[in-house]
Amino acid sequence: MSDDEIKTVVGVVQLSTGNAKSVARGLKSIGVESIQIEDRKSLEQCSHVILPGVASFGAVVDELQAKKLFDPIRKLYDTNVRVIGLCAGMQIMGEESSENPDIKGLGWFDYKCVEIVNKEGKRKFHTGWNSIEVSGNEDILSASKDVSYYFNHSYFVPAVEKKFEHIGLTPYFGSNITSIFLEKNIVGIQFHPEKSQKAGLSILKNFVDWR
Amino acid sequence: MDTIFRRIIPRIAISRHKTNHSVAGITTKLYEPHRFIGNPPNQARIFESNMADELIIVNLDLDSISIETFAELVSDVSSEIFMPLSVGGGIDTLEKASVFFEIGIEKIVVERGLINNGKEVNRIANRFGSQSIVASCTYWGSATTAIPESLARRGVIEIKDLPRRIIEMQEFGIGEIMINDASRDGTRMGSNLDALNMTLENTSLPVIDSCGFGKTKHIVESFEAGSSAVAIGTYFAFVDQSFMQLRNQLANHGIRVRLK
Repeated sequence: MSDDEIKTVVGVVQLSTGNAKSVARGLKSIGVESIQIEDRKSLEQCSHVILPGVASFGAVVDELQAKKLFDPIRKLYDTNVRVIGLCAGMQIMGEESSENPDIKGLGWFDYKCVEIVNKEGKRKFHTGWNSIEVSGNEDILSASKDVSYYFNHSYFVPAVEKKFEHIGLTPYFGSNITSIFLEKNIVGIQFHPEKSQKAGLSILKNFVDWR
Repeated sequence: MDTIFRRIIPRIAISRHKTNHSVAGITTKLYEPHRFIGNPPNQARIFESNMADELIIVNLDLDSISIETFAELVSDVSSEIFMPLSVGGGIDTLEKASVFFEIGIEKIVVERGLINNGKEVNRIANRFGSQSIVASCTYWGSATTAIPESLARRGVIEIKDLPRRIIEMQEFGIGEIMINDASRDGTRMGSNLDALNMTLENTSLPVIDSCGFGKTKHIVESFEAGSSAVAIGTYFAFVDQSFMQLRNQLANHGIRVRLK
């Protein structure tokens, strides 16, 4: 079966702590209908899965566990289902986070999320619009260094060179924040495309069109 | 080098309209309702088309606008915008906060809730992350007039108590601080830079400066003093100037603001 024959079904994982509704609204504004992923059954219908997150690392993992979605989602790595994680939804794709040290993430990648700290060791929040550095021909859903995206977080995925097929970075207070990455069928985004007006919505559009 | 942009945040205050009883946008003066200025979803739509950086909506009329009514309005506004939305006014429990986060807002603004029950705010932070909590602090900054009784009753503090309050607030897992000088609110005389400095000395969190902006120069001064963002109400309601014009003027002053 060719790619063209696979029907695109976009699903947004429903998390009570999350921004599932604003993601769905963002998709609708660019003409994309989405379904709500509440359980394994709805997850299995999807060709494209969006894992949103306005929450702590632990809260997202706990809720996925409670909905029995954690393991089914974990199995999506290196399949033909496209998965995008936003903010905390990206962070839980790694091993763990110092935000909730006892809780294990999906473990797709071996990163550990840590706090942004300044020179004095004080916790910093990366809140606001910032640009990203995508080098050369590394196209990730056409994310561009010429526009800006909305970030709101204090934990981040540390950038380790060559760890991902494609990576975009944002330096902040001496930390090199992984702002976007692509590896196999997975995209992680630290910022909020659904809150980043035209620039962000076009990333969601490119994700949906990604086959 | 850090490349984060300074933010310009329109603030929409709401109150029950005296004659038609709708939930209306208002301007405030000295922290009291001043003038009705229109329908909040319409205002939000204009700010969206002008590429505002964020939006704050505050319910100032807790007696006649219930949490449920407020949530309905926030839901209406949310469907007009694709930028971060912060909401405040009576959101003092995890249950109430959850209602708003489920709508898809980015942050809640807490003030009285933090004073009355900081531990509950801390519960909210543990569930939704500290980045989702803006702690608001309203003080009386005037050196020549005393704080009005009505404001003192509502928890507005004297400026001398500001540093202590800033330190206390940070014990509860907040992610951002907004400071409001009630004595400059709606006056367009410029924000209180002394208070901004006092705040910056006592925190490493982003600080939203608010109250008193009347000219581009005032906003430049606030950013130069170190605020991460400015929250603006009256200025946008009455100054005949578009958002993009303001942005360009700030850029001409060397302020790093988003131009596209």
